[in-house]
Amino acid sequence: MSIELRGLQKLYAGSNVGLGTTDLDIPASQWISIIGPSGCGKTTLLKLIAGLEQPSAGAVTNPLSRKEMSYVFQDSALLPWKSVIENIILPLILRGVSLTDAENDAQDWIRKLKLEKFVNHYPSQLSGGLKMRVSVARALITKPQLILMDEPFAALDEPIRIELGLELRELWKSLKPTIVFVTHSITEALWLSDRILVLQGQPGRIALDRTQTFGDDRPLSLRGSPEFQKNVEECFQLLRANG
Amino acid sequence: MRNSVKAIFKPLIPLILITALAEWLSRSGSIPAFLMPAPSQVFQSLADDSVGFKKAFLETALASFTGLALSLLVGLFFALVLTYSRLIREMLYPYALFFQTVPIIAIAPLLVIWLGYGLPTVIASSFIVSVFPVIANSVLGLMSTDSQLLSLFKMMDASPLQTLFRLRLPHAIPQIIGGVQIAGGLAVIGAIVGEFISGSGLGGLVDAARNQQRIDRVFASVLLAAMLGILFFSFVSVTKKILLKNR
Repeated sequence: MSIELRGLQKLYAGSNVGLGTTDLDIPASQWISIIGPSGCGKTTLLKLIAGLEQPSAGAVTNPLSRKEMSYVFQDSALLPWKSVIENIILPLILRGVSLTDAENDAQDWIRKLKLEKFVNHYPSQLSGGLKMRVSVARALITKPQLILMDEPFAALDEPIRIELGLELRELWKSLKPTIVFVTHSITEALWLSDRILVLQGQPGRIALDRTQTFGDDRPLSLRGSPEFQKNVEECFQLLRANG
Repeated sequence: MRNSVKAIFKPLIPLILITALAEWLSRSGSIPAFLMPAPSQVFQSLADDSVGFKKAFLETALASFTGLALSLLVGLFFALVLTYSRLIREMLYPYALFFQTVPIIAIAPLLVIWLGYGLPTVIASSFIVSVFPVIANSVLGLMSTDSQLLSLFKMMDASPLQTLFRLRLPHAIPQIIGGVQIAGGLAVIGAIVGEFISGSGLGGLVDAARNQQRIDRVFASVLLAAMLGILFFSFVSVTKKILLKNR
């Protein structure tokens, strides 16, 4: 079931930032990446889809309930007074799942995201990369049909970004949720997603909407291929021309 | 461990120096004994009436602790109401501020009229003085919840009660404890003022000693009151350390 955005607009009083009139269909199980300069409305678009903001005009038709969605924030948004495992199981606890069942469910994600050694650590004891893994585990534990990710890897070093990107891609291949992924990195967007949206201007509008042809397997070596580099160049030129 | 010892030892240095200086000034006659007694005289009067001082200390401690506990309960409840209702906040917060500016010494006689001589007046005095920092800090803490975490809870479909108990309150603990830390000292001051009027505890001792020109007993009572304040502050500090150890 797809998510439809029709004539969607979000403008903020006294500011140019926001989202200009936007029409978009997001089919189920698609990984869509949104790139664009700061202030072009990427996060606003994500929040509108999530229902965290109300549009100035237009509408979002999202057939999914909040329980079927997850949101991954830029700085991981962990509760500092809770341990890794307590943070991961939080969505289940809020749904009334018993502690034992929730902890059992969490084991799979702890293993998949390589957090075994850190289950009893607190966020203040974790690196940025580990915090983001916890955040991703928390987002996935409810097996959502839609995951909204707002620059999740922005604060991470390149090797950790690549490692987490590979892990996330593998998880997406096995679970096939719809992912809307906001990033500043053209390479990351092209490498990970099925479809690229480039937002431009203030308020932002869709300047490019391209479906990728790289297939489901995305080895790291793909980033060095001529076709990939050509796409990077094209997006870069588009962003530079309109920036 | 060595750092903790240093942290305790360092503030003792000026205390020892000032005590020694006061002893010397008093013994040498530089300051008349009726203005400031020698520290040794203060300790002697504490030893001479240890039973009376102990009783007064415990009375003040009970009244201050009860006043502080009431401040925490009522202050937190009031802060929750102010946080969740903008209308009530706008209606009542100015009065909370006004309440804070009224000097307790002016209200204390009224408390005696309303509540009579004894513990209720002292507790009420302690409560009135100490409740405002709890309210102010708790409102600040509850209203400054990270907006991203609020969005996260919204995305997780958390109920208002879940958001309160699993996010807003734990998030506000550092500010709430900060308020209780300030309130701890004020609770002792409020209790002493209440005791001045209602005549019990350390405040009653100070008042009686003043009338008898027993300045050594006044100093001894002040010393015990200060110790009580430090005791409260330390207790809250340790609680804070335990509650916030992982943040």
